[in-house]
Amino acid sequence: MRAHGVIALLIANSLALASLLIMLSSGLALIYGLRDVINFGHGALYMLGAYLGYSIALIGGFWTALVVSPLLLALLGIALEYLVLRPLRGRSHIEVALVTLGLGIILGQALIFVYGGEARGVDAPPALAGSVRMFGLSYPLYRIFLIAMGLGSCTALALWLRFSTSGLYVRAVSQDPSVARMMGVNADRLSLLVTSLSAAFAGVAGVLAGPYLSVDPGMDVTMIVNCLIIVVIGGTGSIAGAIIAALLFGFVQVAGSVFLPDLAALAPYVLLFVVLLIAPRGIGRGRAPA
Amino acid sequence: MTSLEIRSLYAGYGASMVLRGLDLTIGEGESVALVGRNGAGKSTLLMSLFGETRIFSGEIRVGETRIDDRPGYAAAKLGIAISPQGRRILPNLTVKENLLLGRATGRSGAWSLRAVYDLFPVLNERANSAGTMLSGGQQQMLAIGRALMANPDLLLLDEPSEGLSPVLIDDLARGLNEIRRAGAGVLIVEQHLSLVKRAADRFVILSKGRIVGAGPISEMDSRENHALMAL
Repeated sequence: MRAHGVIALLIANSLALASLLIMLSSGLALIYGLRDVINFGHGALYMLGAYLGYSIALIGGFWTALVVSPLLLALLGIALEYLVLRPLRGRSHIEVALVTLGLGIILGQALIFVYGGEARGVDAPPALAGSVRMFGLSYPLYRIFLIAMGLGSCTALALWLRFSTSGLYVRAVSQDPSVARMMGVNADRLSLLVTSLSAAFAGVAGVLAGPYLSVDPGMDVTMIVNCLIIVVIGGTGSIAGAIIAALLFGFVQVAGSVFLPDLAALAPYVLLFVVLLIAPRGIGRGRAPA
Repeated sequence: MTSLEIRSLYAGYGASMVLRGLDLTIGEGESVALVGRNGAGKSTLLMSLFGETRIFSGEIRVGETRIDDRPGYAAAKLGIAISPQGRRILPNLTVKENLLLGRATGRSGAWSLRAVYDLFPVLNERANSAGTMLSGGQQQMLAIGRALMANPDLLLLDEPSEGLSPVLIDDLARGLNEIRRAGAGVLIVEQHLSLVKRAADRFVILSKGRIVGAGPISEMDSRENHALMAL
């Protein structure tokens, strides 16, 4: 395999992994920015999205799952906002984090109870089952679709934040909730939108992860740890930072598994250490500690 | 008609009580200066309107609506806008975006982006710059412009002359008079007494969380009032 082929493969695989990470970590960063809460249950929402996607795909096919699972997750996000985040408003970070962690564990265990402990394979839909030639290599079409979905959702999110009124208010609350409030921004209303959107993104990521990574009971823990690293590297509360950090994380993870397979698991932590050493508030210069 | 009515307000931060039984009424279109030493509770009073302090007891009403038990954005929705101490420009938003944030109240009126640009032309020239890239004086104009975008009935200004040159203070005084002519009331917290005299109809002296003196602005320079301000 030629050098440019290896590089192309490396970049493509990095982007495929980063696509899932972008959808999950940007949702996590949005909730943190608005509510000042790290939602440790976000990984469980992703896992629920994956299992729901698996079940729905068995009945109605992959495309139906890709629409229905995120919609159901969005409804769950609304419930999360009303039943958990609002009642816990004003409580300490550790209390809210523990509640979301506990809910995530309960949800994860409930899924294991329903689906069992073994991994479930999900086939890519027939339209995305083949491969395409790229730089002299055969590359799975599904991964290209995954990259397109990742970049598409990232673009849609960026356009919403940059050009819509609600996006402006979300950015304002993420930077300085107190000033945003004084200007008349109702953070509760925004939080409802953002929490349901984040949960829907977790649903999309879960369904897309099925044919790419498989659906298994440990997928929530792996992904939430990765996403937390990304949110910290990106700068807590910075959505743009989270997106850049997800791309960087994907590249480091994939490059590590190719060039230093024995040490690949350490690569994200080395990245975290190096970034925080250079930029203590992360790439996107997240909110300063209170 | 009353814009703002505060009754027996006890408020502060955590366990620390800063305001101790404060009463203040501001009528529609009235311009009032709040003066007193540092630590007297002036900024705490303004922050109390937006739920940024702990209210131990008392009442705050905007018009007929009681707001001390409502979320922090309620005052803004009811027509109170603020240019806070330190300006608090959002660093990752452009000048134009900082101004558009002022429209979050959804209130309509004479103040639009165009009207604010007419009042402070430099903001139009720097519309796409990051807000914090402006000079101190320009940031002050931005903070006031952002508050005006809410089309307020009452504009709160906390130390608006902070860091401004004498020329810019003159510009600010002229700007405040234009704002008043447009019909908004003003509550100004200010150390710069010459600006206070040009911008307010009456003054209120705050000391140790209580009002200890008040009167028409023409009487502010009396020896007795200067003694009260130094308390």
